[in-house]
Amino acid sequence: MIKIRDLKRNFQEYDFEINCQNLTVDTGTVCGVCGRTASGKTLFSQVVSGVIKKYSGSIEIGMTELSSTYRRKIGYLPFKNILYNDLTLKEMSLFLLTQYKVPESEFGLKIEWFSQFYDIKDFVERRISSLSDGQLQYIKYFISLIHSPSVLIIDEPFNGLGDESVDHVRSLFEEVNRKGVTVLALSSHEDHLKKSAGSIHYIIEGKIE
Amino acid sequence: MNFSVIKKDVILLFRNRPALITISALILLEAVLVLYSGGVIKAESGSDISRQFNFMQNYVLIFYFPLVLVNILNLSFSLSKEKGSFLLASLIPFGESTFLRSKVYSAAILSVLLTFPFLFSGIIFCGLESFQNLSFLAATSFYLLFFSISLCTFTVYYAVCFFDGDSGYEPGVKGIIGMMFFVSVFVLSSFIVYSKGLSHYYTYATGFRHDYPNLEMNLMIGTGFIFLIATRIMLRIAEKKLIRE
Repeated sequence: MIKIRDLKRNFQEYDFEINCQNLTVDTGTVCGVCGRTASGKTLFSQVVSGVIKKYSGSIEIGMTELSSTYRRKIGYLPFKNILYNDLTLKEMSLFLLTQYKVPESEFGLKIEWFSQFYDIKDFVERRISSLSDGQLQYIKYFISLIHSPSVLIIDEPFNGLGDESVDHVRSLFEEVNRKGVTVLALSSHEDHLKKSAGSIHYIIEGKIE
Repeated sequence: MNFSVIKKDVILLFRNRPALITISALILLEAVLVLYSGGVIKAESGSDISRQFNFMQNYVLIFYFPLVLVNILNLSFSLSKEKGSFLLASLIPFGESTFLRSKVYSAAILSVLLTFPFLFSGIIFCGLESFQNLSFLAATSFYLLFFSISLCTFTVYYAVCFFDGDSGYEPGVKGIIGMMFFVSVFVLSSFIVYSKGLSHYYTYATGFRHDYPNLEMNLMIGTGFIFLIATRIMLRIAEKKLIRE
């Protein structure tokens, strides 16, 4: 579950404020936050995922206040690519599994599981720099779920994906919801978001309504 | 020490063609230097102690070249790859600390691999018999190892704290000049200390003062301790800077 109360974060360098009075996402559901370009989606996702640390108000992830010790619980899929382009998918995955203290032997199982939504077996030995935007987006999904988080926060879930891929994303959300994962998806594609999310909120100039 | 992060850093460095070519050229250059100087030493009365001192000093001076070069490679091809990935570090438990330390460790490991074999093959295979003494080699290794680690820590600390993180830690003119100044001061002071200490260590190593505990041993432990504290402070400051960003 994600519970946000009276969240405020001022970004003086952008002359911008993120403001969220009340937002609750129940366990095992998908909540969509829809907003135009530059409405504050990325900044909001970074605050909720703990990347941006200073804020007022409270963010609870699974009944516990957000802190650096709960990084294992959060899977964050940012808009920009934060993966190492010179590593292969396998090297990148094994590296992250080690960091999250997950046995490396689970890599094969994770690949098998994810391939029901999109077949990434062929990419395992390929460098991340050689993937197309669409393939990269699926890889980012895979990587953000690799440590089995309880909360998945996604900035622009449909970035680089065609219309037919929206169904893949929806099935992925349904599957992770069945496993008890709470999803917060932030997108400018309202129609796509409506197909995938149980509830929709709007972000306008940093204010979540 | 987190080996998977160090492995990742080494892979990132070696997957970069200019870095790989530079490292290969460096190894080749070192081999040629050892072979060439070996020939010169053997041709010119190798048993002359003052001549051996000169060659030893030259080897130590050359030792700094790969060390500085590895640090430049680390900043140019490894740290710059972290532009987006420090965001990844902020998602992993203790990520900032692990990522930063791994940069230092991988640079230190690479510099040790590129410098120590050169120095020791110079001493052992080029007939510098006066320095083929276990105590001397141990003292030299200890001193240069701590110097290598502290220089690697300093360069990473300097880059994180004084280069522009938003543009992939690319330095401005002031950043480069500052870095060159401090690295030159580091290297020169280390070389002067080592050169002065060379005859001292030689006296020690050849058996005049072997009683333990002795001044040399205490100096080595004391210096190592100060180095460790200084590197920890520098890393902590750089970590805080990263977390703030």
